[in-house]
Amino acid sequence: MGKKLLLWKTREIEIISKIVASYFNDMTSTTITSRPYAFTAIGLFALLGCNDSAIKQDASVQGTVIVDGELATQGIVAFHPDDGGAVAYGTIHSDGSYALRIGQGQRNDLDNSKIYPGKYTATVAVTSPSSDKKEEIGNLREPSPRINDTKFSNKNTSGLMYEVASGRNIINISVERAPLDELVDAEKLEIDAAEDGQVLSGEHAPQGEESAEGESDAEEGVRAKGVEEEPTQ
Amino acid sequence: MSLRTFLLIAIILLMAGCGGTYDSYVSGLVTLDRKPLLRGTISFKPVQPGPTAYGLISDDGSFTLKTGRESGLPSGEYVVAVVANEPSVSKEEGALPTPGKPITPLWYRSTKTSPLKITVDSGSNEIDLELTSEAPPGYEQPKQRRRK
Repeated sequence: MGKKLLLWKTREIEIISKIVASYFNDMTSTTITSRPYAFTAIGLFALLGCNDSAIKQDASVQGTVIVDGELATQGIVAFHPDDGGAVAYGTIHSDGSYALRIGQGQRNDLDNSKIYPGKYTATVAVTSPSSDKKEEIGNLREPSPRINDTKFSNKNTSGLMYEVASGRNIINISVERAPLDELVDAEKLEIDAAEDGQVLSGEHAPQGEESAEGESDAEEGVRAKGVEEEPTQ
Repeated sequence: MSLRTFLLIAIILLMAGCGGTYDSYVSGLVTLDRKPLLRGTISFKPVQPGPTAYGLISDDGSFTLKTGRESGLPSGEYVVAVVANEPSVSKEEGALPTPGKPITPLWYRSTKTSPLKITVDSGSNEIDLELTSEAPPGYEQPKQRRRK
C-alpha cells in the first residue's frame, strides 16, 4: 500500500516535503514545534483521499432469460459478487428481458443502473404467470410456482458464472425447466400403470396430455417390455 | 446547395442524434406452412461473436427484436431459431405447469441446426420468417433418448 502510494504520488510528496523543509529552514534547529508534524499528517491524509484504487460502480448489465428455448415472462435474476458485497438483481419483464441494479438503482432510468464490475454468480427464479385466483383470507394472489430447475436458484449449484466489465454488458441467461420426473411423479405412475395394462391386454395407447418426448419415451418403454416378455411366453 | 437538401441533411443528422444503442431494427411476421405462428420465441444469434437478440411472437404473428432491454441489434449476419410450444398447462391450481407440445419443427429450435440465415442491414429491417414442416436437406433427426 505504502509502496504504491509512493510510486503514484512522488510529485505530491516532493511538494509536501519542500513545504515541510521550508518550515524547518525558517525555524532555528532548537525550536522544533508540532507544526511540521501537523503538516506531514495533513499531507498523508490528503494522499489517502486521493487513493483511486477503489472499484467504480460503472457497469450496466442487461440481458434476456431463456427457459428451454422460450423467453421467460416473469421472475427474478440475482447476481452475487464472488468477493462478497452488494447483490445486484433485476426483475424479468414480460419480454424476457432484465436489467440489473443495486438497491433502488438509477430510479429515473432503471435499465441503465450501475453495478460494480467483477466476477459474479447468477441465480434465476422464473415463475409462471400468477393465477388470478385470490386466496379468501387476506385477498392475496396465490404464489406462482417456479418453472426452472431448482439448481439455478442456488448460487452454489447454478453454474451461471459471469464476468461483468466496466461499461455495457449484455448477458443472456439460459436455464432448463425443472425435470418432468419431479413435477409429475403421480402422473408418471399413471402412465406406467397404463403401459403395463397395454402390454397385457393390447389396448390402444394411453390418452393424456404428455409432451411429444413423453410419448416417444412411453412407446419405447412398451417396445422394450414386449421384447423382455417374449421369451417367457 | 438548395434549401431542400440542407433541410434533409439537417433532419438526418437530428435523427442520428436521437439514435439508440444499436444501428439496426428488425420486425416482421412468422409463418409455419404459410399460416401465421401466433406464439413463441425468436432468437437471432450473430455469426460473429456477440449477444443474441430475442423477440416474442405476439398473438398476431408479428415480432420485434430486442437486445437486453433495448430495441434493435447490431447489423450483420445472423442464424435464426424459432421455438414455439403450445401453452403449458397447470393440472392443479398452484401446481407447476407441464410444458406444452412443440409447434415448430426440431431443426428450427436451435441455432445449431436452423437453416434460417439472415443478413441484418443498418436501419430498419422488415424480415418475414417463412417456416415449413419439411426438413431441410441433410438434416438428420437426432436419436431419441432411451428411457432409463
